[in-house]
Amino acid sequence: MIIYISVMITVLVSASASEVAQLPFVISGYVFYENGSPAYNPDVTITNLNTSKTFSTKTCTSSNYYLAKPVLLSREINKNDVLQFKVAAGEKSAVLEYRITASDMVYHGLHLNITLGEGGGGEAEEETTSTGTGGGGKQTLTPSVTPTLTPSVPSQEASLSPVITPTPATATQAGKAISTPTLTPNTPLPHEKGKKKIPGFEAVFTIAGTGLLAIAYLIVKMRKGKRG
Amino acid sequence: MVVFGIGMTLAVLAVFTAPAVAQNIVYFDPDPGSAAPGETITVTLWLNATDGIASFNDNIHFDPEVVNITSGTPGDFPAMWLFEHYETGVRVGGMSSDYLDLPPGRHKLATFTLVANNSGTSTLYHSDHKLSDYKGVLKSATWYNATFLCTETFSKSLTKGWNLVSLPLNPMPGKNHTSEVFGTVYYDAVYRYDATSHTFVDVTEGTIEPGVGYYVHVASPSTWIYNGTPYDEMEVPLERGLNMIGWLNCSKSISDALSSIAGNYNYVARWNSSLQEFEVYVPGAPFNDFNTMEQGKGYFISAKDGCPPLTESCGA
Repeated sequence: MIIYISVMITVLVSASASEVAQLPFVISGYVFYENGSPAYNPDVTITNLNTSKTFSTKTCTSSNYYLAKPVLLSREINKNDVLQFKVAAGEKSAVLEYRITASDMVYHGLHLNITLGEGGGGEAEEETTSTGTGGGGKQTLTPSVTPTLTPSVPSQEASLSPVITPTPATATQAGKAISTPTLTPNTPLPHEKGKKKIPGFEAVFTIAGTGLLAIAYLIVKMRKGKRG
Repeated sequence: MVVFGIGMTLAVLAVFTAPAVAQNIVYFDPDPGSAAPGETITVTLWLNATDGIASFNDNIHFDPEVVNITSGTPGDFPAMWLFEHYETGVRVGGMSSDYLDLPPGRHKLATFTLVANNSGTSTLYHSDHKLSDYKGVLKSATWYNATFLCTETFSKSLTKGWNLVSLPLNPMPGKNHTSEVFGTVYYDAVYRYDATSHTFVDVTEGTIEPGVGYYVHVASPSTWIYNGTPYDEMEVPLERGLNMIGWLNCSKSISDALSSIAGNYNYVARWNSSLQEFEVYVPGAPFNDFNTMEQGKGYFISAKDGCPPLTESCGA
């Protein structure tokens, strides 16, 4: 009985203490276009892919700044959670993923600058807070995914819309921004414009033409011989 | 050898058989005395005498910014009574009514009226003091200084649920128990945050102090009222990561308030007890939820590695 009461008291005390655990986790940053110019009034939505909880952000028309609002509670974020950032500004958009690091948990925050790339790609740059007295160090987080263009893709769809998928090895790198460009219709490059041709057609045509020319040459030569 | 042993024995016996040296003691009561600005209190100067005493003289100094001794009336030494202001204090003295020794015991030297001027703390200290018997022979004594507190009253409404607060006033000496500081609050839990262990510490049954942020869980809406002297200077070390700190007895813009750690912190957050959600200030951001540090509130500071202590004062 005494043990039961002790356990209950412990549980109640623990419950009370856990109610206290209201610690902030601040997510903020700036959004840029690829040319470095600020992407004003960005639309940023953050989703914790581990909990599927979505967090809205506050932005303003005169700035490229975003702030997760209401401020997250630290209990909503755990180390190694993957946050998905859906970012749109103007006609550009990107979807980035970021894995929460131990450092982020220490500082109870994340300052992530996002650059919107061409074709829906994105790049994230975290202003880390873990540098020493020098301060202000930046850890550039380039997309950790090496774009994997499916090699034996003869299909038309594949050649028009390359699918970039993170490889397992790179996707699990903690603290790296994972670039997953949105699928947008790709326009053919200038040198690709025009009809698609069958490979080897020119060679056959050339051989056939050369043969015809040789035959014509022999016929002409035979006729000259008869006249002579 | 025998002689040495006898000598030692006698010396030890002498120590044990020597009468205790009598000690006259002079002290103020109450100590500390306290009053709000403009208020007056009465403080008595007492003598616990172990000798016969016929007269006394004393200079009592104080901080005139905080307090003034406006009058002094005699007690058991009314003859030749002296009370006058002297530099930063008062000069008092008197003799027994028959100019003879008063017997050992407790005697009232004087009663003073003190007026509190401005918030703060002043020591009441003695100089050029003396006790003597009717022959004019000086008697040694211990003269205890005292403290006067010109106190303020702090008042703040606390909503039901969690409130993140800090103490803008130093509690009265010996009155820093949580139950005394939050005596007017219907609370059931008080926590501080240990930035080193990254855990909350239950101080519901403990003591609290300025410079520290406290989460107070209020069971029913309350008005927090307590007295103390202004906490107007701080030097608070900040650990790498999240710190829950207190603030001074004044309001300041954050850029001023945190100038001592500029560039060394990521953000400041406070808890909106009405909305039960955090508000945040990020340095350099184009918009923030708040821009001032206010008395009575507690704050979270996310400090960078190597962040210096937060040093600030209300006057600076």
